[in-house]
Amino acid sequence: MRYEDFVAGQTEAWERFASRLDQLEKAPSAISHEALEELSVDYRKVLHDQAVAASRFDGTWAVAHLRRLSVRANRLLQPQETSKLASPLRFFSRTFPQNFQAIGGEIAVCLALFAVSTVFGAALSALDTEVGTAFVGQNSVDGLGRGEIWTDSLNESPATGSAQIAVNNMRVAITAWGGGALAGFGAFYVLFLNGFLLGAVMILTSHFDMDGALLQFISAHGPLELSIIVIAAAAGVHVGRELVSPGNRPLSARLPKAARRSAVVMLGCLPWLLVLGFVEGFISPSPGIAHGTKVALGLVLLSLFLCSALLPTLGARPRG
Amino acid sequence: MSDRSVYGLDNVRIELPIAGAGSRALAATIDYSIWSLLVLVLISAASAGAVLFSDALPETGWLVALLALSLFALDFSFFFGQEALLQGQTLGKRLLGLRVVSHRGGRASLFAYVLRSLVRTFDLLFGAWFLIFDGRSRRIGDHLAGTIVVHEPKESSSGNAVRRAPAGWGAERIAVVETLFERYETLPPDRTEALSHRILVEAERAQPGFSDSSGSTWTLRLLRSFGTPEEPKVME
Repeated sequence: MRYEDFVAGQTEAWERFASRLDQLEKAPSAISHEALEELSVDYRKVLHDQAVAASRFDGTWAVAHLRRLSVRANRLLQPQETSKLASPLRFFSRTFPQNFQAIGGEIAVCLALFAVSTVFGAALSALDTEVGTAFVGQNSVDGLGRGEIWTDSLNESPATGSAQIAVNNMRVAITAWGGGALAGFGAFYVLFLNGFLLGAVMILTSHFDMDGALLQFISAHGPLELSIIVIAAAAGVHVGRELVSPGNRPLSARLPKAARRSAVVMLGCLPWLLVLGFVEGFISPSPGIAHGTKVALGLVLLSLFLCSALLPTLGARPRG
Repeated sequence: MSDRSVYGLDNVRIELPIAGAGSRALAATIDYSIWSLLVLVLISAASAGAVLFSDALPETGWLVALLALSLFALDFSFFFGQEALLQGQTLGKRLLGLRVVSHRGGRASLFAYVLRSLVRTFDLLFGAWFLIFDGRSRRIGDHLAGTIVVHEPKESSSGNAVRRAPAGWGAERIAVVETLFERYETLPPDRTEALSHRILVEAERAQPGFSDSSGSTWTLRLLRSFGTPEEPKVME
């Protein structure tokens, strides 16, 4: 077959195919079922022509043109993967609990690591108060000496504090999750840092007999906030585990599934951090709210979260 | 199958035009410039609001709170939103003709765009290494989302195809003529003339009487000889 005959014989079909692809891209819903079937037949023909052209006329315009058409058709004619984010109700009632329960092992490991790092931070701070000072700053330590705790400053502008805390917590959760992509090290780092900080600061405040004030401050938001940080880190570790553990399927197939599952868990936690930002800005530092009420609120929030996460899920567990 | 190709229908291999680190970095630079501008607009609007409505607002803290939440929302929705709306493109990618597709070359899912956005901070720190050393130029976000970034195929006119060729000419020689068809308008005229003359001499040698001698320049004779269906854009 001569090249010029090949081009002359097929150009019209290729142009028709290209214009149908244009239609499909501009208004996918306007394409009729028959037109779509014709398009798929034409696609098969274009792929066949491409294979012929590549083997006989390599380097020519026809090969480059058919390659462009094939790449474009491959994108437009493949079914788009569905997204479970479409319905918030389905997400929080089914997708989130299913995926949360699937990473239970990682959550247990992260909880243990968090506890160990808290004890470690507390022990080091007990040996040397400078450890705690390094986290909260000298001004805050001076304040503790005067019987003032730094969290009181939140009462000056609760709205600003609330938003900044919510944003900061969401960033920490995202960092803890994303850090999992670095073979889990990023997630472990966030977990260790937060546990260590908690332990060190608790001991530092106890040096000044202010540990009660700190506990009173964190009792409303702390239980859930710390749990969510642990869970976000566990979601990151889930990704890291997939990176380092051998599997029957290629990593390029396993990793996106693990990332998707863990991201669902992390994204399911983010709205709670908005609520916690409000609690931490308006309720936790408020001297007008009794300690008992704050403790009760903390327990209620944690229980609500755990109920939503451990909701008995109908249907199958997540695949993959 | 090479790292840069996928299988289409009937197992026909499709070579994907993977975007390299350079074009992706340039697209990201454009996007971050726009993002910085939007951040500046948000902060300016909040500052102006605080000054203009200082009497009406009970406390400027609410405005700061709104600004903090807006900046956070912008940070995480800027890239995701664009990629979701523009089917895998941001403004920077659109300007450079790039597009995010699934690892099979199909349309990426909404969740894939979310995943890519969530690890963007890590990619700013470590992504360049992944881009450079990965066979498919994927950053961390691409690995997690199962996506790749490709060059958007640009359509090329069928006017660049050879319609007549001397007897015995193979694909390699035809490709040379087609390359000249594609580029003659951007090459210096004397260079085009020299190349056209050389090709026509070769064509005459292969098939005497093949050349069309009606044009006043070698380039025009070349275009007419090899049968471009479009009116040549060179001056007589």
